[in-house]
This record gives sequence, structure tokens and C-alpha cells, in this order.
Amino acid sequence: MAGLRLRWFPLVLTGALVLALAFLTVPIAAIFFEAGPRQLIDSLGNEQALDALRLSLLTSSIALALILLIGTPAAYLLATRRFRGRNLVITLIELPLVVPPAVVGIGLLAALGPGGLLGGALGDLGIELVFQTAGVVVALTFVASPFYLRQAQSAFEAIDPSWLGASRTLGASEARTFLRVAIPAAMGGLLSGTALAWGRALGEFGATIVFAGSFQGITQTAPLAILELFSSDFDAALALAAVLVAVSAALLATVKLFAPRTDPRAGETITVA
Amino acid sequence: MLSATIEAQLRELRLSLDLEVAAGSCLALVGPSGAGKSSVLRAVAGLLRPRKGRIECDGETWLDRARGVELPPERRRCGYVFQDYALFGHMSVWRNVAYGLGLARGERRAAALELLERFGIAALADAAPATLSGGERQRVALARALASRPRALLLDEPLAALDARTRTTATRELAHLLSDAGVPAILVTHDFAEAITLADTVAVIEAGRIVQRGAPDQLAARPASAFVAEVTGSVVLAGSAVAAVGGGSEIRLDGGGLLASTDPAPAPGEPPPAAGHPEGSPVAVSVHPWEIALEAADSPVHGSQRNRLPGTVSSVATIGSRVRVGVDVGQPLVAEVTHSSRDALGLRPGAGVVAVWKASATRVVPR
Repeated sequence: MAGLRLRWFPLVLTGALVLALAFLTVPIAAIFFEAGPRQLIDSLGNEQALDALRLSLLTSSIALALILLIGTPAAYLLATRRFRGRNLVITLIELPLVVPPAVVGIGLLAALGPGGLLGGALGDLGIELVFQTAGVVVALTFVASPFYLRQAQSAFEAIDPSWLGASRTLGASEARTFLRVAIPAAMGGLLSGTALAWGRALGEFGATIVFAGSFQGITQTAPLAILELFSSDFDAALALAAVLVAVSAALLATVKLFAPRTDPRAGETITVA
Repeated sequence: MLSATIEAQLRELRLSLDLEVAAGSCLALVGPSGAGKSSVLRAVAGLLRPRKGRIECDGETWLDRARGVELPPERRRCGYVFQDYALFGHMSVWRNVAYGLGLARGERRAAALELLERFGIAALADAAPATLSGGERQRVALARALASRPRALLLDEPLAALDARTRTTATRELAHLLSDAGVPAILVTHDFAEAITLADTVAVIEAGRIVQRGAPDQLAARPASAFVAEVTGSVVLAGSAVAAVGGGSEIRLDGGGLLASTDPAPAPGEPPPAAGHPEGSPVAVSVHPWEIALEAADSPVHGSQRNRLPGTVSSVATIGSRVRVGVDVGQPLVAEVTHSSRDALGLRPGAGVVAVWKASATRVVPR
């Protein structure tokens, strides 16, 4: 009996993995089979596809810059201080991870739209977001930032607190300690968080189409263009999809490459999905 | 001169103590883990905010909660050697050492190399901390702590992470370094032997308080409590004492057995004899392991050794030129004997022996 059990259970495990792997890889591989290299190059001449790619790169880069600039110190505070309400703050920051993107779009409209909560104030300042490229940046920043914040927080938490103490006793202020010790020591986790957030921003669809619309060259990012091309020029849609897959794969590779490179002690608790 | 009065609440532990260390001398804080030793160092360095307290160094006030003075760690500049050395893993050895140097870019490497040279590890300047041995890491940590000309040295178990062979050399080097540095130093350790070698004064910490302080030999000779006696490595036996006719005291041990000491029994009422101890006040008896000799179970009584407890050998461990023998005499006891007496008595677990020592080597402390 024991011998039999030992033989069938590994088979179940292997079978489950093979099934999961096939299910997850076949559709992605199919994109490249369907869009042959020839078609791929041809359709990249498609102006709409090119516009969308350019816009995606531009808006996601600006969103990432904003996320890094504000997210890094915010995550450091969460990682190094204990204060009342800290858990609540962390939960609120993670909330966008589970809210459906279309709901995010509605929320952004309600908050920042012309008739929204802050819309009037923004309008007085001459800032318009709805149906504008800036609106795309806002949507991408919103959905992508939790990915970076979470990763950055755990990377900072993994730093041996005595490193920060040592830096202070050696004459460095807290700001200098943050720049010279904390950021370099957490670099692996910060980079993988950046890659995850960038991947999420590049794939963003729901919030963008609700909040910013889908206007070629202004708010139509690559995923939105794929939807539109899908009905008119399937080959171009496939080609654009292939490019997005390649970029996303490169980002994932970055995650895998940098995550284990941190200090062995700091690396232990950094978990990359 | 460094002086500190610290009161802090750390989770379960209430830290409340004051200490004073002269320039060029070293105070060792000895005690079990969790007694608050490292927290004292953190408070002095400015990494922990005591609820109340005053810390002064060379006439400069670092902390005075009453007056609202609190210097940040970077302005106190203590040379702090952390327990696991806390070398920055993303920097090479020389950059670690140069971190605290406030020099121009071009001079930093040369200055760091000079320090590393002094510690005999200049060859490791470009190595990553993760590739170093424990002893090498310790030297880098010391070099880094000294690089910024600290006003005080704080050493948290600086030798604990080293293997036994490296530790002997490292201890000697550290003793030299402490006498050269010329600044007040505080050493945290749980090893009394280490404290004897490195410190001028030892303070024994128990549950956030200093229970006794003094020169190391003074503490070993006259422990104020059973706890201090145990910290100094003495054998501690529980019993109750009464005054003996003609001076000294007699102690009835809790597990059975009668001992004599030249120490007086604690005066009645101080502490008051409990109702359960009609024969005397509860005490602990302490004796150094090297004062205890072992004899064969059937050997005749002779000499001036008044204390004789029969027991069974529970363990035999040879450490260098000495043999540590655990003996169960109703309470556990450790005797340190020579190789020749181990062989002559055929000491092995289970063997019957008599533990023998002088009344004058028997300390009686309140329990």
C-alpha cells in the first residue's frame, strides 16, 4: 500500500504542474506563432500601433518616476517606524490591488473629474486630466504604485537595523543613512518592485479607458490600441500584443535577475511572486 | 569621562541604572541575555530614547530629558561595534572604514588603508564583507569604529562571534586597543572571563538594574548575591544559615548536607527568617570551582578541609589543562581538577566521590 501511494502521488503533482504550465504558456506562445516574424515587422509600420507603443512607454515612464520619487521614502517610513494606525495605512495602500480597474477609473473621475471632489480646485489651477495624457499617467500611477510600495517596504524591512544604527553612530544623518545605506542595501528589492510596477502600468486597461478614454496619440496606450485594432486589423493587434509580451517578459527577467542579488541576509525575506 | 543615568521602558523590561566611566578605562556590563545590556549601549549612542535620563561625555550634555536636550547619534559620535559587526554588505572593506571619515574624496582611501594597515588587514581593502572570516570582520568593525575618532567606545559582545582560537588573539588585541584609545569604553558581555581581561570595572546587570559593581577580582571574591556569584562562574548552592559557635556560620543545604563558612550568617531580621526556615535565614553558598577538590568516596578525613559533600559524578569535560567535573551532591556542583587527579580517581559519570573544600573559600550571600 505504502509503495503504491508513493508512486501515484508524485504523478498527481507532476500532472498538476504540467497542466498549469500548459494553460499559462500556450496562449502567450500562440501570439508569436500566429504573428510570424514577417507580419510582425510589417504591422509595426502601422501608425496607430506605433503611436500606442510610444504613448505607453512615455506615460508608464512618467508614472514610474512619480512612484519611485514618492514611494521610496514612504515605504522607508513604513518599514522603519512603528506608529499607531500603521497597519491601517498599509491596508489602505494595498487596497488598489484588489479594486477592479474599472472601479478605479470611476473613482478617479469622481475625485479628479471636472465635477469631482477636487476637480474644481484642479480646474482653477488650469489642470485638466480627463481625456488627457496626464490622466493616463494618473491612472497608471494609481494602479501600479501598490506593487512598488509593498516590495520596497519589505526590502527596507529586511535590512539589518544595526546597519542603520552603525551609519548614524559613524556621523551620518538620517537622510544620509537613507541615501547611502538603506537604498543601496535594498536595491535588489527596489529594482524588482520597479519592474513589477512597470509591468502592471504597461498592462493597465480598465482605469485608463474609463478615466482618460482611448484617443490615438493622446490617451490610447498599447492595451487600448490592441482592443481597437482587434476588430479592424487583427494582424496589427497580434504584432502589438507580441511586442507587449516581449517587454513584459524582459521586465519579469529583471525581477528574477535582481531579486537574489541583494545581500544574502537582506535577500531572505524579499519574496518575489 | 562618560556618565549616564538612564531610565527606559523596553517592552517587558524596565531599564534603570546609572554608570560612570573615566577616559581610558573600560566598564564591562555583564549579565544574561535580555538583562538590558545592549539597550544601555544603544541609549548612550543615541539609538534609543530613554524616558528619563542624563548622559554627559567630556562635559558635553548628550541627553537631558528634563531640559529637553537630546543630541542625535551622528553628533555624539560613539565608536560602536555591533554584536554581528553590522558591516555594510554593499560596500567594500575600505569603503566601510572610510564611511565615517569626513575627508575629501581623494584622501579617503589612503586614510582608510592606513587604519586597515594598523589592524593588519590592508590586503583585504577591496574585499566584500561577506567573504571575510569572523576575525577579519571584527577587525574591520573595530577599524571602522575608530576611524571617526570616537568620543567613547561601545562594544557589544565584540568577541562572541569568534571561534575559540581567534578569540584568544582578538582578546589580547582588544585589550591593547582599549588602553591606547584613551576614551571611555563600555563593553557588553555575558562572559565574566572576558570582562576580567578587558575591563577595569565590572557591573553585573540583572533585569535592567546594576546589582553589583567593582573590580573584577573583588566581585569574584565577594559576590553580593547568588546571582552575581553565578555570573562570576562560581558554584552556587542553596541552603539556610545559622551563626556558628566561635564565629562564622553553619549552612544546612536544601538538598541535605552541612557546610561551614568563615563568613557570618546574615544578621537575623536582615532578611527576616521566613516562617518556613526556623533553623536560619535563607542563603546561597558560593565557592569557586577551582577551590573544590575531589576525593575517593572511601578516603579518610584529613587536613583543614572542613566541607565534605559525598556525591555522584555526572559529567567530565577536559578543557585545556583543567578538567571540569560535574558532581551531583543533592544540588549540582562543578569542580575543576587536574588531569592527574582525574586519572588517579578514575573519574567518569556514575563514579562516587567526595567534594571537599575549605570553610574560608565558602562565601555566604543572601538569597
